[in-house]
Amino acid sequence: MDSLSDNALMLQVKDGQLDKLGLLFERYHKSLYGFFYRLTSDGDTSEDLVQNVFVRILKYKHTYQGDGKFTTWMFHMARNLFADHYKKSKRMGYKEDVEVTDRYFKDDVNAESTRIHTEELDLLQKAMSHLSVEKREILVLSKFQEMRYKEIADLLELTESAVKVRIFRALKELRVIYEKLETQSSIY
Amino acid sequence: MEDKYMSLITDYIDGTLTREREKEFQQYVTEGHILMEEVNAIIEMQQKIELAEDPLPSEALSENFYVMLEEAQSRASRVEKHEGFFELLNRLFFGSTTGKLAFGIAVLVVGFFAGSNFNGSKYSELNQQITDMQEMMMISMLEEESVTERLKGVQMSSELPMTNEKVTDALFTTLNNDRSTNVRLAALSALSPYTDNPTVREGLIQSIAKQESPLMQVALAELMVEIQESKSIEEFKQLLEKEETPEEVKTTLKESIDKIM
Repeated sequence: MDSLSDNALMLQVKDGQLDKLGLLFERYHKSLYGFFYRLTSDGDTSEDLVQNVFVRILKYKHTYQGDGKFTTWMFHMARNLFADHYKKSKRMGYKEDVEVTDRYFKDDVNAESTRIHTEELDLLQKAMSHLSVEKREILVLSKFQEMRYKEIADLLELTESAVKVRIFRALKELRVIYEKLETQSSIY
Repeated sequence: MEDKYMSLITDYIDGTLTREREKEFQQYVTEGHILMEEVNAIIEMQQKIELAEDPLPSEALSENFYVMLEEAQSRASRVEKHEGFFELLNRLFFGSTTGKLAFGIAVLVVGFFAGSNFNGSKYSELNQQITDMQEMMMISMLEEESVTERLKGVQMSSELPMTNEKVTDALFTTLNNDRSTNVRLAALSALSPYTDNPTVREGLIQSIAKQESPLMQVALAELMVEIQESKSIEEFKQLLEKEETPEEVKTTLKESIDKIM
Protein backbone atom coordinates (compact mmCIF):
# COMPACT_ATOMS: atom_id res chain seq x y z
CA MET A 1 0.00 0.00 0.00
CA ASP A 2 1.23 3.46 -0.87
CA SER A 3 0.78 4.78 2.61
CA LEU A 4 2.05 8.25 1.85
CA SER A 5 0.90 10.54 -0.90
CA ASP A 6 3.43 12.02 -3.33
CA ASN A 7 2.76 15.35 -1.78
CA ALA A 8 3.45 14.16 1.76
CA LEU A 9 6.66 12.48 0.64
CA MET A 10 7.88 15.55 -1.20
CA LEU A 11 7.16 17.73 1.83
CA GLN A 12 9.28 15.35 3.90
CA VAL A 13 12.07 15.63 1.34
CA LYS A 14 11.74 19.40 1.59
CA ASP A 15 12.02 19.02 5.34
CA GLY A 16 15.38 17.33 4.97
CA GLN A 17 14.39 13.65 4.89
CA LEU A 18 16.23 13.10 1.64
CA ASP A 19 15.82 9.32 1.75
CA LYS A 20 12.13 9.81 0.96
CA LEU A 21 13.16 10.88 -2.53
CA GLY A 22 13.96 7.21 -3.12
CA LEU A 23 10.27 6.36 -2.82
CA LEU A 24 9.35 9.05 -5.31
CA PHE A 25 12.06 7.76 -7.63
CA GLU A 26 10.60 4.26 -7.44
CA ARG A 27 7.18 5.61 -8.27
CA TYR A 28 8.14 7.76 -11.21
CA HIS A 29 11.45 6.92 -12.81
CA LYS A 30 9.92 4.59 -15.38
CA SER A 31 7.27 7.03 -16.39
CA LEU A 32 9.83 9.83 -16.66
CA TYR A 33 12.09 7.58 -18.69
CA GLY A 34 9.18 6.87 -21.05
CA PHE A 35 8.52 10.60 -21.35
CA PHE A 36 12.10 11.39 -22.35
CA TYR A 37 12.51 8.33 -24.50
CA ARG A 38 9.44 9.17 -26.58
CA LEU A 39 10.78 12.67 -27.02
CA THR A 40 14.43 11.94 -27.74
CA SER A 41 14.44 8.37 -29.06
CA ASP A 42 17.65 7.95 -27.14
CA GLY A 43 17.98 5.63 -24.16
CA ASP A 44 21.19 7.03 -22.70
CA THR A 45 20.08 10.62 -23.01
CA SER A 46 16.76 9.71 -21.43
CA GLU A 47 18.46 8.09 -18.46
CA ASP A 48 20.63 11.16 -17.98
CA LEU A 49 17.60 13.40 -18.15
CA VAL A 50 15.68 11.31 -15.58
CA GLN A 51 18.65 11.54 -13.25
CA ASN A 52 18.74 15.30 -13.77
CA VAL A 53 15.07 15.63 -12.88
CA PHE A 54 15.79 14.12 -9.47
CA VAL A 55 18.91 16.24 -9.04
CA ARG A 56 16.76 19.29 -9.74
CA ILE A 57 14.05 18.14 -7.35
CA LEU A 58 16.68 18.06 -4.62
CA LYS A 59 18.15 21.37 -5.63
CA TYR A 60 14.80 23.15 -5.71
CA LYS A 61 13.06 21.27 -2.91
CA HIS A 62 12.72 24.49 -0.92
CA THR A 63 10.45 25.92 -3.63
CA TYR A 64 7.95 23.06 -3.36
CA GLN A 65 4.71 24.40 -1.94
CA GLY A 66 2.60 21.29 -2.09
CA ASP A 67 -0.45 23.17 -3.30
CA GLY A 68 -0.67 21.45 -6.66
CA LYS A 69 -0.07 17.89 -7.80
CA PHE A 70 3.47 16.65 -7.26
CA THR A 71 3.55 15.14 -10.76
CA THR A 72 2.71 18.49 -12.35
CA TRP A 73 5.65 20.04 -10.54
CA MET A 74 7.89 17.14 -11.51
CA PHE A 75 6.89 17.20 -15.17
CA HIS A 76 7.38 20.93 -15.20
CA MET A 77 11.03 20.31 -14.36
CA ALA A 78 11.20 17.44 -16.84
CA ARG A 79 9.92 19.70 -19.61
CA ASN A 80 12.44 22.40 -18.78
CA LEU A 81 15.26 19.88 -18.81
CA PHE A 82 14.12 18.54 -22.14
CA ALA A 83 13.88 22.08 -23.54
CA ASP A 84 17.47 22.78 -22.39
CA HIS A 85 18.66 19.53 -23.88
CA TYR A 86 16.86 20.25 -27.13
CA LYS A 87 18.34 23.73 -27.43
CA LYS A 88 21.81 22.44 -26.68
CA SER A 89 21.65 19.64 -29.19
CA LYS A 90 20.37 22.03 -31.82
CA ARG A 91 23.26 24.41 -31.16
CA MET A 92 25.67 21.55 -31.55
CA GLY A 93 24.22 20.90 -34.98
CA TYR A 94 22.51 17.76 -33.82
CA LYS A 95 19.22 17.64 -35.58
CA GLU A 96 16.65 15.22 -34.46
CA ASP A 97 15.38 13.48 -37.53
CA VAL A 98 14.64 10.06 -38.78
CA GLU A 99 18.26 9.39 -39.76
CA VAL A 100 19.39 9.94 -36.23
CA THR A 101 16.65 7.73 -34.93
CA ASP A 102 17.68 5.10 -37.41
CA ARG A 103 21.27 5.30 -36.30
CA TYR A 104 20.21 4.54 -32.76
CA PHE A 105 18.11 1.68 -33.82
CA LYS A 106 20.90 0.14 -35.86
CA ASP A 107 23.49 0.69 -33.18
CA ASP A 108 24.06 -2.72 -31.63
CA VAL A 109 25.90 -1.26 -28.68
CA ASN A 110 22.84 0.75 -27.74
CA ALA A 111 21.01 -1.20 -25.10
CA GLU A 112 17.73 0.19 -26.24
CA SER A 113 17.80 -1.60 -29.56
CA THR A 114 17.59 -4.90 -27.78
CA ARG A 115 14.56 -3.81 -25.86
CA ILE A 116 12.57 -2.84 -28.86
CA HIS A 117 10.91 -6.00 -29.92
CA THR A 118 8.39 -5.17 -32.50
CA GLU A 119 8.61 -3.36 -35.74
CA GLU A 120 5.43 -1.62 -34.69
CA LEU A 121 7.25 0.20 -31.93
CA ASP A 122 10.08 1.15 -34.23
CA LEU A 123 7.74 2.60 -36.73
CA LEU A 124 5.73 4.42 -34.12
CA GLN A 125 8.82 5.92 -32.54
CA LYS A 126 10.12 6.90 -35.97
CA ALA A 127 6.84 8.54 -36.82
CA MET A 128 6.90 10.35 -33.48
CA SER A 129 10.33 11.77 -34.20
CA HIS A 130 8.98 13.40 -37.36
CA LEU A 131 6.49 15.45 -35.40
CA SER A 132 7.34 18.91 -34.12
CA VAL A 133 8.54 18.95 -30.51
CA GLU A 134 5.30 20.58 -29.34
CA LYS A 135 3.11 17.95 -30.97
CA ARG A 136 5.33 15.13 -29.78
CA GLU A 137 5.24 16.42 -26.25
CA ILE A 138 1.48 16.73 -26.01
CA LEU A 139 1.06 13.23 -27.40
CA VAL A 140 3.58 11.80 -25.00
CA LEU A 141 1.86 13.41 -22.06
CA SER A 142 -1.67 12.44 -23.02
CA LYS A 143 -1.29 9.13 -24.79
CA PHE A 144 1.88 7.61 -23.40
CA GLN A 145 1.85 9.09 -19.91
CA GLU A 146 -1.94 9.02 -19.79
CA MET A 147 -2.04 12.31 -18.01
CA ARG A 148 -5.45 13.94 -17.57
CA TYR A 149 -6.33 16.87 -19.80
CA LYS A 150 -6.67 19.08 -16.76
CA GLU A 151 -3.16 18.24 -15.66
CA ILE A 152 -1.73 18.79 -19.14
CA ALA A 153 -3.59 22.08 -19.31
CA ASP A 154 -1.99 23.15 -16.01
CA LEU A 155 1.43 22.04 -17.13
CA LEU A 156 1.33 23.69 -20.55
CA GLU A 157 -0.67 26.67 -19.35
CA LEU A 158 -3.46 26.08 -21.85
CA THR A 159 -7.19 25.59 -21.55
CA GLU A 160 -8.50 22.05 -21.55
CA SER A 161 -10.24 22.49 -24.87
CA ALA A 162 -7.04 23.88 -26.40
CA VAL A 163 -5.30 20.73 -25.16
CA LYS A 164 -7.91 18.55 -26.85
CA VAL A 165 -7.57 20.45 -30.12
CA ARG A 166 -3.79 20.08 -30.05
CA ILE A 167 -3.99 16.39 -29.29
CA PHE A 168 -6.32 15.91 -32.20
CA ARG A 169 -3.99 17.76 -34.58
CA ALA A 170 -0.97 15.83 -33.35
CA LEU A 171 -2.71 12.47 -33.69
CA LYS A 172 -3.91 13.35 -37.15
CA GLU A 173 -0.42 14.29 -38.29
CA LEU A 174 1.11 11.25 -36.64
CA ARG A 175 -1.27 9.03 -38.56
CA VAL A 176 -0.27 10.58 -41.89
CA ILE A 177 3.45 10.19 -41.10
CA TYR A 178 2.94 6.68 -39.83
CA GLU A 179 1.13 5.59 -42.99
CA LYS A 180 3.81 7.13 -45.15
CA LEU A 181 6.57 5.31 -43.26
CA GLU A 182 4.58 2.09 -43.39
CA THR A 183 4.31 2.31 -47.17
CA GLN A 184 8.02 3.12 -47.43
CA SER A 185 9.09 0.21 -45.27
CA SER A 186 6.92 -2.20 -47.23
CA ILE A 187 8.60 -1.01 -50.44
CA TYR A 188 12.15 -1.54 -49.15
CA MET B 1 -11.56 21.89 -39.63
CA GLU B 2 -12.81 24.09 -36.86
CA ASP B 3 -11.48 23.77 -33.33
CA LYS B 4 -14.86 22.85 -31.87
CA TYR B 5 -15.02 19.73 -34.03
CA MET B 6 -11.52 18.69 -32.96
CA SER B 7 -12.23 18.91 -29.27
CA LEU B 8 -15.50 17.03 -29.86
CA ILE B 9 -13.71 14.26 -31.73
CA THR B 10 -11.12 13.95 -28.95
CA ASP B 11 -13.93 13.42 -26.45
CA TYR B 12 -15.65 10.98 -28.81
CA ILE B 13 -12.47 8.92 -29.08
CA ASP B 14 -12.10 8.95 -25.31
CA GLY B 15 -15.73 7.94 -24.91
CA THR B 16 -16.38 10.86 -22.60
CA LEU B 17 -19.12 12.63 -24.57
CA THR B 18 -22.24 13.53 -22.65
CA ARG B 19 -25.53 12.53 -24.25
CA GLU B 20 -26.06 16.08 -25.42
CA ARG B 21 -22.59 16.40 -26.93
CA GLU B 22 -22.99 12.98 -28.51
CA LYS B 23 -26.08 14.30 -30.33
CA GLU B 24 -24.08 17.31 -31.43
CA PHE B 25 -21.34 15.00 -32.67
CA GLN B 26 -23.77 12.88 -34.68
CA GLN B 27 -25.29 15.99 -36.17
CA TYR B 28 -21.91 17.20 -37.39
CA VAL B 29 -21.28 13.77 -38.89
CA THR B 30 -24.63 13.89 -40.73
CA GLU B 31 -23.89 17.40 -41.94
CA GLY B 32 -20.52 16.27 -43.20
CA HIS B 33 -18.41 18.49 -40.92
CA ILE B 34 -16.88 15.45 -39.26
CA LEU B 35 -15.75 12.53 -41.41
CA MET B 36 -16.14 9.20 -39.63
CA GLU B 37 -13.43 7.76 -41.85
CA GLU B 38 -10.96 10.21 -40.45
CA VAL B 39 -12.17 9.64 -36.90
CA ASN B 40 -11.76 5.89 -37.25
CA ALA B 41 -8.27 6.26 -38.67
CA ILE B 42 -7.31 8.32 -35.65
CA ILE B 43 -8.81 5.74 -33.31
CA GLU B 44 -6.68 3.14 -35.03
CA MET B 45 -3.59 5.29 -34.56
CA GLN B 46 -4.39 5.70 -30.92
CA GLN B 47 -4.75 1.95 -30.50
CA LYS B 48 -1.28 1.49 -31.94
CA ILE B 49 0.03 3.83 -29.29
CA GLU B 50 -1.83 1.96 -26.57
CA LEU B 51 -0.36 -1.33 -27.75
CA ALA B 52 3.17 0.00 -27.88
CA GLU B 53 5.42 -1.42 -25.20
CA ASP B 54 6.75 0.98 -22.63
CA PRO B 55 10.44 1.58 -23.10
CA LEU B 56 12.35 0.49 -20.00
CA PRO B 57 15.47 2.06 -18.55
CA SER B 58 18.58 0.03 -17.78
CA GLU B 59 19.68 -0.93 -14.26
CA ALA B 60 22.22 1.86 -14.44
CA LEU B 61 19.51 4.47 -13.94
CA SER B 62 18.59 3.20 -10.48
CA GLU B 63 22.21 2.66 -9.52
CA ASN B 64 23.19 6.18 -10.53
CA PHE B 65 20.22 7.64 -8.74
CA TYR B 66 21.02 5.97 -5.43
CA VAL B 67 24.66 6.99 -5.68
CA MET B 68 23.54 10.57 -6.24
CA LEU B 69 21.07 10.39 -3.34
CA GLU B 70 23.66 9.00 -0.97
CA GLU B 71 26.09 11.76 -1.88
CA ALA B 72 23.42 14.37 -1.34
CA GLN B 73 22.58 12.90 2.07
CA SER B 74 26.15 12.84 3.29
CA ARG B 75 26.68 16.37 1.96
CA ALA B 76 23.59 17.52 3.84
CA SER B 77 24.77 16.01 7.13
CA ARG B 78 28.22 17.55 6.66
CA VAL B 79 26.69 20.96 6.12
CA GLU B 80 24.57 20.55 9.22
CA LYS B 81 27.58 19.65 11.37
CA HIS B 82 29.87 22.35 10.10
CA GLU B 83 27.54 25.21 9.63
CA GLY B 84 29.74 28.22 9.30
CA PHE B 85 29.80 30.89 11.98
CA PHE B 86 28.40 33.51 9.66
CA GLU B 87 25.66 31.25 8.36
CA LEU B 88 24.72 30.58 11.95
CA LEU B 89 24.63 34.28 12.72
CA ASN B 90 22.67 34.94 9.58
CA ARG B 91 20.16 32.23 10.38
CA LEU B 92 19.79 33.38 13.96
CA PHE B 93 19.47 37.04 13.26
CA PHE B 94 17.76 37.28 9.92
CA GLY B 95 15.82 34.03 9.72
CA SER B 96 12.86 35.38 11.67
CA THR B 97 11.31 38.53 13.02
CA THR B 98 12.57 37.56 16.43
CA GLY B 99 16.09 37.32 15.10
CA LYS B 100 15.85 40.70 13.43
CA LEU B 101 14.69 42.28 16.67
CA ALA B 102 17.36 40.46 18.65
CA PHE B 103 19.86 41.88 16.21
CA GLY B 104 18.43 45.32 16.84
CA ILE B 105 18.90 44.87 20.57
CA ALA B 106 22.42 43.56 20.07
CA VAL B 107 23.31 46.64 18.00
CA LEU B 108 21.83 48.84 20.67
CA VAL B 109 23.82 47.15 23.44
CA VAL B 110 27.04 47.29 21.45
CA GLY B 111 26.37 50.93 20.65
CA PHE B 112 25.77 51.60 24.28
CA PHE B 113 29.06 50.18 25.47
CA ALA B 114 30.92 51.78 22.64
CA GLY B 115 29.53 55.17 23.53
CA SER B 116 32.03 57.49 25.15
CA ASN B 117 29.59 59.72 27.06
CA PHE B 118 28.68 57.13 29.58
CA ASN B 119 26.77 58.33 32.64
CA GLY B 120 24.07 57.20 35.01
CA SER B 121 21.08 58.87 33.44
CA LYS B 122 22.03 57.62 30.02
CA TYR B 123 22.40 54.16 31.46
CA SER B 124 18.86 54.06 32.80
CA GLU B 125 17.59 55.63 29.61
CA LEU B 126 19.24 52.90 27.65
CA ASN B 127 18.00 50.25 30.00
CA GLN B 128 14.53 51.49 29.32
CA GLN B 129 15.17 51.35 25.62
CA ILE B 130 16.30 47.76 25.87
CA THR B 131 13.19 46.85 27.83
CA ASP B 132 11.07 48.61 25.23
CA MET B 133 12.76 46.64 22.49
CA GLN B 134 12.23 43.37 24.34
CA GLU B 135 8.64 44.28 24.86
CA MET B 136 8.17 45.01 21.19
CA MET B 137 9.90 41.80 20.31
CA MET B 138 7.68 39.79 22.62
CA ILE B 139 4.50 41.36 21.28
CA SER B 140 5.53 40.81 17.69
CA MET B 141 6.39 37.21 18.49
CA LEU B 142 2.97 36.64 19.95
CA GLU B 143 1.57 37.65 16.58
CA GLU B 144 3.71 35.23 14.56
CA GLU B 145 2.12 32.55 12.37
CA SER B 146 4.22 29.79 13.87
CA VAL B 147 3.11 28.23 17.15
CA THR B 148 6.73 27.77 18.21
CA GLU B 149 7.45 31.46 17.75
CA ARG B 150 4.38 32.40 19.75
CA LEU B 151 5.42 30.01 22.51
CA LYS B 152 8.83 31.66 22.56
CA GLY B 153 7.08 34.99 22.82
CA VAL B 154 5.18 33.84 25.90
CA GLN B 155 8.39 32.51 27.39
CA MET B 156 10.12 35.80 26.78
CA SER B 157 7.51 37.65 28.82
CA SER B 158 8.93 36.07 31.97
CA GLU B 159 12.00 38.28 31.54
CA LEU B 160 9.87 41.40 31.48
CA PRO B 161 8.27 43.21 34.42
CA MET B 162 4.68 42.06 34.84
CA THR B 163 3.76 45.50 36.13
CA ASN B 164 4.05 46.59 32.55
CA GLU B 165 0.57 46.90 31.18
CA LYS B 166 1.62 46.32 27.59
CA VAL B 167 3.09 42.97 28.53
CA THR B 168 0.10 41.77 30.53
CA ASP B 169 -2.33 43.04 27.90
CA ALA B 170 -0.48 41.13 25.21
CA LEU B 171 -0.48 37.98 27.34
CA PHE B 172 -4.18 38.28 28.04
CA THR B 173 -4.92 38.75 24.34
CA THR B 174 -3.01 35.54 23.74
CA LEU B 175 -4.69 33.76 26.65
CA ASN B 176 -8.14 34.61 25.38
CA ASN B 177 -7.70 34.50 21.63
CA ASP B 178 -4.78 32.35 20.49
CA ARG B 179 -5.75 29.53 18.12
CA SER B 180 -3.46 27.05 19.83
CA THR B 181 -4.38 25.57 23.21
CA ASN B 182 -0.69 25.06 23.94
CA VAL B 183 0.03 28.73 23.49
CA ARG B 184 -2.97 29.68 25.62
CA LEU B 185 -1.81 27.29 28.34
CA ALA B 186 1.67 28.79 28.21
CA ALA B 187 0.17 32.27 28.56
CA LEU B 188 -1.79 31.07 31.56
CA SER B 189 1.27 29.67 33.29
CA ALA B 190 3.19 32.86 32.49
CA LEU B 191 0.47 34.90 34.19
CA SER B 192 -0.24 32.62 37.16
CA PRO B 193 2.75 33.71 39.32
CA TYR B 194 1.34 37.25 39.27
CA THR B 195 -2.08 36.67 40.80
CA ASP B 196 -1.15 39.13 43.57
CA ASN B 197 -1.49 41.84 40.99
CA PRO B 198 -5.20 42.81 41.03
CA THR B 199 -5.31 43.50 37.28
CA VAL B 200 -3.86 40.08 36.51
CA ARG B 201 -6.18 38.42 38.99
CA GLU B 202 -9.23 40.14 37.51
CA GLY B 203 -8.11 39.32 33.97
CA LEU B 204 -7.81 35.66 34.83
CA ILE B 205 -11.29 35.55 36.33
CA GLN B 206 -12.69 37.25 33.23
CA SER B 207 -10.90 34.74 31.06
CA ILE B 208 -12.85 31.75 32.46
CA ALA B 209 -15.93 32.58 30.41
CA LYS B 210 -13.86 33.04 27.27
CA GLN B 211 -12.29 29.60 27.28
CA GLU B 212 -13.94 26.91 25.21
CA SER B 213 -11.31 24.23 25.48
CA PRO B 214 -11.81 21.78 28.41
CA LEU B 215 -8.06 21.84 29.03
CA MET B 216 -8.12 25.56 29.62
CA GLN B 217 -11.26 25.46 31.73
CA VAL B 218 -9.76 22.84 34.00
CA ALA B 219 -6.40 24.62 34.21
CA LEU B 220 -8.12 27.84 35.22
CA ALA B 221 -10.22 26.00 37.80
CA GLU B 222 -7.07 24.54 39.33
CA LEU B 223 -5.47 27.94 39.49
CA MET B 224 -8.53 29.49 41.11
CA VAL B 225 -8.54 26.78 43.78
CA GLU B 226 -4.90 27.47 44.42
CA ILE B 227 -5.44 31.18 44.92
CA GLN B 228 -8.83 30.64 46.57
CA GLU B 229 -10.54 33.23 44.43
CA SER B 230 -14.19 33.28 45.39
CA LYS B 231 -15.11 35.70 42.61
CA SER B 232 -14.40 32.92 40.13
CA ILE B 233 -17.26 30.78 41.45
CA GLU B 234 -19.84 32.82 39.58
CA GLU B 235 -17.93 32.30 36.32
CA PHE B 236 -17.65 28.58 36.88
CA LYS B 237 -21.33 28.30 37.64
CA GLN B 238 -22.05 29.85 34.29
CA LEU B 239 -19.85 27.25 32.62
CA LEU B 240 -21.75 24.53 34.49
CA GLU B 241 -25.00 25.80 33.00
CA LYS B 242 -23.68 25.72 29.47
CA GLU B 243 -24.80 22.67 27.50
CA GLU B 244 -21.60 22.46 25.47
CA THR B 245 -19.40 22.10 28.56
CA PRO B 246 -18.34 18.43 28.66
CA GLU B 247 -19.56 16.34 31.61
CA GLU B 248 -16.04 15.53 32.85
CA VAL B 249 -15.23 19.24 32.95
CA LYS B 250 -18.44 19.92 34.88
CA THR B 251 -17.43 17.36 37.50
CA THR B 252 -14.01 18.96 37.90
CA LEU B 253 -15.56 22.41 38.11
CA LYS B 254 -18.00 21.32 40.80
CA GLU B 255 -15.13 19.87 42.80
CA SER B 256 -13.17 23.09 42.38
CA ILE B 257 -16.08 25.23 43.52
CA ASP B 258 -16.37 23.07 46.65
CA LYS B 259 -12.69 23.49 47.33
CA ILE B 260 -12.84 27.27 46.99
CA MET B 261 -15.87 27.50 49.28
